[in-house]
Amino acid sequence: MASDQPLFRVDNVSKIYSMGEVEVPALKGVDLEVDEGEIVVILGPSGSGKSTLLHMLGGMDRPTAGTVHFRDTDLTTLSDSELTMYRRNHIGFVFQFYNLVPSLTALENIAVATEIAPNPRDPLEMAALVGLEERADHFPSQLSGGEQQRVAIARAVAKRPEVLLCDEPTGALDAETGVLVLSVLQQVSRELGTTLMLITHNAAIGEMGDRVIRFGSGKIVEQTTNQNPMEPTTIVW
Amino acid sequence: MRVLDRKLVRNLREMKSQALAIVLIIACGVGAFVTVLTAYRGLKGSRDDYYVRYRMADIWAPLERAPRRITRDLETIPGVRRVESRIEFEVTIDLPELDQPCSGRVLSAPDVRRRILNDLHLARGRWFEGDGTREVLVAERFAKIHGLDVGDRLMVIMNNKKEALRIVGLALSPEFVYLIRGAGQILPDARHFTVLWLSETFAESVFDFKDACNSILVGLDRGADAAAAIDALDEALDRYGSFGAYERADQLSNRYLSNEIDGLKGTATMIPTIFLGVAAFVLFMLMARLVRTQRTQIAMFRAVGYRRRDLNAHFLKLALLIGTVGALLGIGMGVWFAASMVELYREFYSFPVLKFDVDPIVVGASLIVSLLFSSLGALGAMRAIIRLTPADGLRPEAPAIYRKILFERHAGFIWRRLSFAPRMVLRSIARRKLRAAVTIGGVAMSASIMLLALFSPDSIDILMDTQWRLVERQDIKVTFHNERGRAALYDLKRLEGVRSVEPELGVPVRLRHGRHEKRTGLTGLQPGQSLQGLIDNELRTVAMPTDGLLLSRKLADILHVRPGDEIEVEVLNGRQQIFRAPIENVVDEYIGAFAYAEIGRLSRWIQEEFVLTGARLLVDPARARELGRELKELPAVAAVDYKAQMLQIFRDTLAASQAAMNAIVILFAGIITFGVTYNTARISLSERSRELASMRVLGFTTREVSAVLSLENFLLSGAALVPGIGLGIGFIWLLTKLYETDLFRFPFIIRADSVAWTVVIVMGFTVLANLLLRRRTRELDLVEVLKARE
Repeated sequence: MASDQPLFRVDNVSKIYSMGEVEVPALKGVDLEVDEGEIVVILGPSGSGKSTLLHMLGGMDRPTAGTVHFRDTDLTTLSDSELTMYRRNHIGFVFQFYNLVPSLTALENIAVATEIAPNPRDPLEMAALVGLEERADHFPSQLSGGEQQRVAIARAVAKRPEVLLCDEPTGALDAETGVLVLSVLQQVSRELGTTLMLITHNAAIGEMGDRVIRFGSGKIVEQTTNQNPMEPTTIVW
Repeated sequence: MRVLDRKLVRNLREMKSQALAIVLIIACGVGAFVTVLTAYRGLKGSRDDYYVRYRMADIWAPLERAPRRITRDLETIPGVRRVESRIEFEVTIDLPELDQPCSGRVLSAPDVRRRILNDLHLARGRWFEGDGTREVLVAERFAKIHGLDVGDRLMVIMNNKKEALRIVGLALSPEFVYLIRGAGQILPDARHFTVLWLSETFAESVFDFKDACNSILVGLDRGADAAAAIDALDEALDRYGSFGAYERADQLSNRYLSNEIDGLKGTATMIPTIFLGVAAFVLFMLMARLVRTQRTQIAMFRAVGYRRRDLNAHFLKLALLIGTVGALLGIGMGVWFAASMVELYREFYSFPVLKFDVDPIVVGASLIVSLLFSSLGALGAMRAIIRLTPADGLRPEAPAIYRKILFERHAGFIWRRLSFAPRMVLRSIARRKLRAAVTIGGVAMSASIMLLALFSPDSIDILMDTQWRLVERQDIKVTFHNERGRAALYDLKRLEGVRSVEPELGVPVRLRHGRHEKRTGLTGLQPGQSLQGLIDNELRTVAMPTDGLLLSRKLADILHVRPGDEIEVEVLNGRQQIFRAPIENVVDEYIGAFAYAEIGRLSRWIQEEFVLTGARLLVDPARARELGRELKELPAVAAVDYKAQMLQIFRDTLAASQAAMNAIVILFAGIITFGVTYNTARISLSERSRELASMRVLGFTTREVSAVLSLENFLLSGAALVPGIGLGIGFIWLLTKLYETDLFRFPFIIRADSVAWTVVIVMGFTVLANLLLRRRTRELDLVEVLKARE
């Protein structure tokens, strides 16, 4: 899996949001490389720019300056429709609010992703992977928050993406459920070799990452590497 | 409150396309309402005013000949306020530029102007001078068409003498608002027919009617019993060869005019009610959804401490603002269209003043309806939201509860083949059936008014096609001044270019069956004739009557008779004959309510051997013009009707004005349809924005995402077509009933291509609305939508 070339290369990326007449810098010259198969945890207070970076990597937004490379592709040069195809073929997203389609069952929600992916995984297998094969026929309204988030994870990985981008995936969950969800993420990443980037403001979660990046005021303020990442179940919040 | 008002303005700005669509829907509903009601009131007001100011008679009593002094006896009849006598004759006018005779009706008027029944309005010129010899007043419309004016000469053949008359005035009369010669005609033809007024003294000498009259006019006291007065008149005039007195309701011009007014009254209540109802319905639906999208904001205001009634007032203002703008726009459009409709009426009706004014009640009613329904929509939705505690409102809405739908449980094998998009759509439709029903209802109503708008040109087409291709199969119809023997037929046959001639005997009659009676024309036709089509409602030929009568269906309905029944026939041409005849069959005609008999039988009934009053001709088209000129020279000929000419007049007037009217109605229906489909799609976009944004993040293209949205809209619009077309057919049926009279009936026929057009237009607007929305789908801010909970 590992190769010499990084999966993501972020060069001097800045992002300025124009909010009416005020310009708000969200990112100020960020440099970063992410390798394939890595688990990266991004920590930082709200407004520090971590979500903005994730959106850049996921092809949901463009930087004001600098370049973002996914392997050999400069994402900043892609058109909207090319970005759509990029998201479709390479990226899996998991959000704080699970964003499931309420009118589709768990299994069907997973199938939403597999229907458009060029090389998808079996939706039922994915449901099993997140431990929901028994509840695959349930609608979101019949699932707990943790279960909904597991469906969202299954949906994200079912496309066989290279990267899984998670924005506060445990933000809306209690600690116990949160740990369960993180375990699933770690397990999925390990078993499928998917690169995992996870945003949180819960420092304890950093322990599960191969690398921890701290954000502050639009910049990376610290990067640490964990030689022995912990299992989420052993993390104390 | 100031902050809320600012919010109001900004809300409006944000939803301007939606607000505009709502405003247009209201404007069209109100516009249709105001147009028809204003036109109706204008026409009715002008008629009523004209009749009162010019003393329109209540009863007409034509007769053979009576001394003028008879009026004094008639004045003693109870209820009779005023009796006047006059002389009335059919004449022929010789206009050199016409290739056919022009017929005229001469009426006598007092030598010295005084207030009379059916008084004249002098548009130009003056009254008679002295005894008025060789002076004539002519109908203004006729003079205008022929470029005649005061001082010009007019050649008139009266009493077999050609007289050169000098036009001294152009006049209008309340009994000729609709200038038409006979009941078989549909449209006024002032090129070939006019009314002429001569002074009494001059008329007496021309027609050898010294101190005599053949037409009595009666004015009744207010509230008098017209039927009793008519009976008394008939009895008193019996020995003078009465043709049967009739009341105003049976007077030809008034029948046409009142028929239109009654039809308009029906339309005035029906079409605008439908339009306004659809608009109100859509308005209700849209306002309700608009309010629902502001759920969190409402909760926030409540949390801050705003009272319920502050918030109710806020949304009420929004609704009232949209309602007012829509209503005002509609009123403006309505008044403008009404003015053009009144202009159209000038083509058909001659009034001294055709007025129309904007009725404050109409304006007020449209304002109230539009404000009421927009407020109801807003307040209805507010009720549900305002019941929530602020905390509930602020908390994200729980995921919508879905269940497996009936369809997937019972048709699993189909369901399994469906991709997620149709599954999403079908489940959400099933989950919110009421809302889907509301949307379907809105689209269905627009489809129904679209079909209704498309119907009327179809109907007129069919009416005219049936009348002129299947019923009137002749090229030319010749009418004689009076009854002729067989020789008249040979005179016609001898003319070069005449291919075939069929005689016709027209007898004015009063038909009676029990207490039902009807004045109409009884036409005698030759056995084996082919120029008068007698058809049933399936367009099959009905056999010629032998010993009895054939009635048009409308006449049979009026008299409450069926084939096999016997009715009493009273001849109204001065002969005073009454006979009984059986009904042999019924024919379907869209125009008139006539009766037919075999010509020999009819002749014998009126105690003649064989007489005719006219003929139908097939002619060589190349010879048609010369033939007209030759017919003009025959003194017996009173009128010549060319079918091609009637067709031309029809195309130039009625068809043209109908086309204009329909363009307006189709435009209104189109705007409403578009407004409904666009708003429906717009709302489902905002309701699904979160779902759709998730899909975009997953890597769905804009096209794929909007396909989900479009699928829902197409399904709903498609589903709406069935009830919509059904409803439209119902409206059409109602409209044909409203306009059904003994003068003409609109055929109740739904053409496949109109249905197809309705489908195309409704679905076309749905496509257009979805295309417009694709742009908005592209603008979905993925990051924002996914971050926020609402």
